[in-house]
Amino acid sequence: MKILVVEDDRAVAEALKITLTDRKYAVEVAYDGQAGLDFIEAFDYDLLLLDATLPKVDGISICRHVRACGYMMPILLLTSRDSKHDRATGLDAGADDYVIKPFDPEELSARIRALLRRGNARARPVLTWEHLTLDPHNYEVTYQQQLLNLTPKEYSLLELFLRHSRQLFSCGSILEHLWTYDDTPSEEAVRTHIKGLRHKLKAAGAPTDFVETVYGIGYRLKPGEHVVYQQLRIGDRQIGVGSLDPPVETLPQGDRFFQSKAPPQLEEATPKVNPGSVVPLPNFLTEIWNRHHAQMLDRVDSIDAAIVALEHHCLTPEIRQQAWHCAHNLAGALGTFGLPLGSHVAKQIELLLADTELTPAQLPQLQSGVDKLRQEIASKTPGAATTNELPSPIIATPNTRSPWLLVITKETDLGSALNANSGGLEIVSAPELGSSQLERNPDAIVLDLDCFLQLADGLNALSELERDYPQIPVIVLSQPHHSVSELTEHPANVTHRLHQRIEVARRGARLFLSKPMPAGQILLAVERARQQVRVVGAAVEHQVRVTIVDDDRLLLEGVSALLSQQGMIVTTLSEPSRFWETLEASVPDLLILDLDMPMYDGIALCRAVRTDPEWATLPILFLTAHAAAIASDRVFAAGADDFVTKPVVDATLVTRITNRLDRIGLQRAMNQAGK
Amino acid sequence: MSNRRILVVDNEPSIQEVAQICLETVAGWEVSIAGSGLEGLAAAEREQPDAILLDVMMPDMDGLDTFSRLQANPVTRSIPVILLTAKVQTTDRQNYTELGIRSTISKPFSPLKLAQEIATTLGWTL
Repeated sequence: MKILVVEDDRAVAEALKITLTDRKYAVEVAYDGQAGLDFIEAFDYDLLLLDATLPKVDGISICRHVRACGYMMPILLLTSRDSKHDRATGLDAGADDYVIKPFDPEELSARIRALLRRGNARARPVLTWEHLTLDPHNYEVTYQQQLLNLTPKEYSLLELFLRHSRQLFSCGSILEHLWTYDDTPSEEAVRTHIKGLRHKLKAAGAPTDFVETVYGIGYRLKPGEHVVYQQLRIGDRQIGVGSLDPPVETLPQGDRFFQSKAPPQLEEATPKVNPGSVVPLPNFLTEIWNRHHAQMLDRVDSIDAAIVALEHHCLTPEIRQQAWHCAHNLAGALGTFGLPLGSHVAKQIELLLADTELTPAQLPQLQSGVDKLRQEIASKTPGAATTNELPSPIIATPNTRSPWLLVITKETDLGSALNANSGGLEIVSAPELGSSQLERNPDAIVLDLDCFLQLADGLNALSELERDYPQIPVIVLSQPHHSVSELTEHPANVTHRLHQRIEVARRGARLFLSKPMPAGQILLAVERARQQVRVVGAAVEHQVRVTIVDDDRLLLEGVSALLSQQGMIVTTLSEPSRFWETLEASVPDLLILDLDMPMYDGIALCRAVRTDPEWATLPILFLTAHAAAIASDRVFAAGADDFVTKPVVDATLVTRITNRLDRIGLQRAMNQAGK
Repeated sequence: MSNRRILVVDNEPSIQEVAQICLETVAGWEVSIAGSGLEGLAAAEREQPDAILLDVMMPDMDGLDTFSRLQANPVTRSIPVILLTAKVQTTDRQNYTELGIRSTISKPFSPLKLAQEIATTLGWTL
């Protein structure tokens, strides 16, 4: 909660400040009426504490002015003992209460609490985002002045997003916010409402990703550089308070959308500029910043000089004005370069320096302001490690049709390594997969499963991708290996990774790559996925190697014997959970899979095999007891080459295998000849 | 349709650069720069741009002073002017509109949105 104290008696002001700060309020002080008005204009306060008598503009006039402008925050007037007239006039002018000087700290804070409790129920700001307006007074939502006809849930959704414009909401948390405990539907309901909302927004002219999907995690309003407005309205007059900060969250009591539990972050109604909000810049802006960076620091130095002069009681009007100009310039420029907090701090310094009667009492504020400024500017030092600067896909390179790769990973090294090796391919990396990036039509996506807290989230993201953008090839990077070979790895890990492969393949990924993998190889894999070129695998050895997976041990024995007779080296496996290590150890030229096995069916294994670049061209043959017609679609869709029905007729199987291998041998010979 | 030409009048070099590059890159407009009110007056008369982006807080001749002189000159009177200002006081804004200023853009502004805001105000398509 932020309070503005306007009091010209410095001792009293100090006392007030201490009293309030002790009770955890954020306090700002102005020493005359005009400064007070300037502060009110520039910043948002939850409560005003005004002395009735002030230089330049008195407290009561401030009340009137403030109320006339439509500000609704509670006002507490400080009056002297013998001015009953002031008290009456003050209340009439729009103050909510008064306290008589000398004030009693307990009484003061109690009155303030009472006023804040009454809350800002009257001041329900109209929320705005880009061209969208939501008015909580009459539940009207307009986009570019066009009225939207939303269902109650769609309205609630939108309001939720607007009040927490920077927050990402999962289906689960949306359900929590918008439905009561005994009324909660499935997550599918949330998706339906979002679809409905998007549809109506689009009809009114909004971009399709106005509400953005971050795959695997949730939804939010599409971020980007923007100015978020809060408009206070009274009657038909509107006052805009524009800033680059997130909107002030004033939660009215008893809001029907937040019944029993108000989410904790709404309690604090001060505009929060979280320090991590250094906004990533497009390259050309970074270049401009680099050129002017030193000048920005010079300006901070000027302010510093004024501080030093003030400390030594030799602050001249010229020095103060010079410093003021510098602060003003910084306030106007820093936000443009992605440092909104810097602009905010500079503005506060500017206001302090505007006071012609600046005293050393303001030194701590000034000093801390300057320190913050240096910090902010330093965070964008040219040549510093750009680990927190993401190449932004927001820059408007108009409609490029050249291919580009979207890499979703939290490993910045990986991003840089890919960039270094990319040749002509444009690469954009980001730590999250948002629908706005997908709207730009990447030619392929590399998705690092490590970006997600849980495998399930990553798998969800894959499913969503498959559903929404089936045509974009997805290359998945697994969570890392911990040993060189699966043979030496803990069985639990082995199973887990096989599980990963299978689940990933099931959801339509083209390739599954195990980390760590050098950037060059990743790019090669991407190329292959894009062109769907099959890699020439291991050379055919003179003796054919076959691996069979079937839970029927009797069958395994039989087929094994049969094929060994033909001079083939056969590896059998009855337990699919050890499949991958067996595959790698046996290095087969051909794989035979039973279609129906407990836990892992042959189709799933087949798809998993096909996602690995090394086994992409391995001939796979299915054994199935099902009638041929029913099974064949599934079998071939999964990437198998052939199938044989059980019971296996010896001759058939052998013929099929040898035919298949002959064909491959021929193909390879042709490839070799072609080179 | 020929390219829009816009004159940016601001004494702050970093803002000059940002405005120029953003408007050229994002909108494809031709941008010229003036570093003071006086320079701005001369440039406006000479080039007759399609619009002027004018900073309020400049030393010597401030934005409003510059604006009134632009209005006084028949050659430059009808060029639409957008004010760049750090203060967004409503009373001021009303004054500006009454004076004939098309709109105000507050500082710090969002560089990627600058072109869109200007276009929207003036009814230009990007």
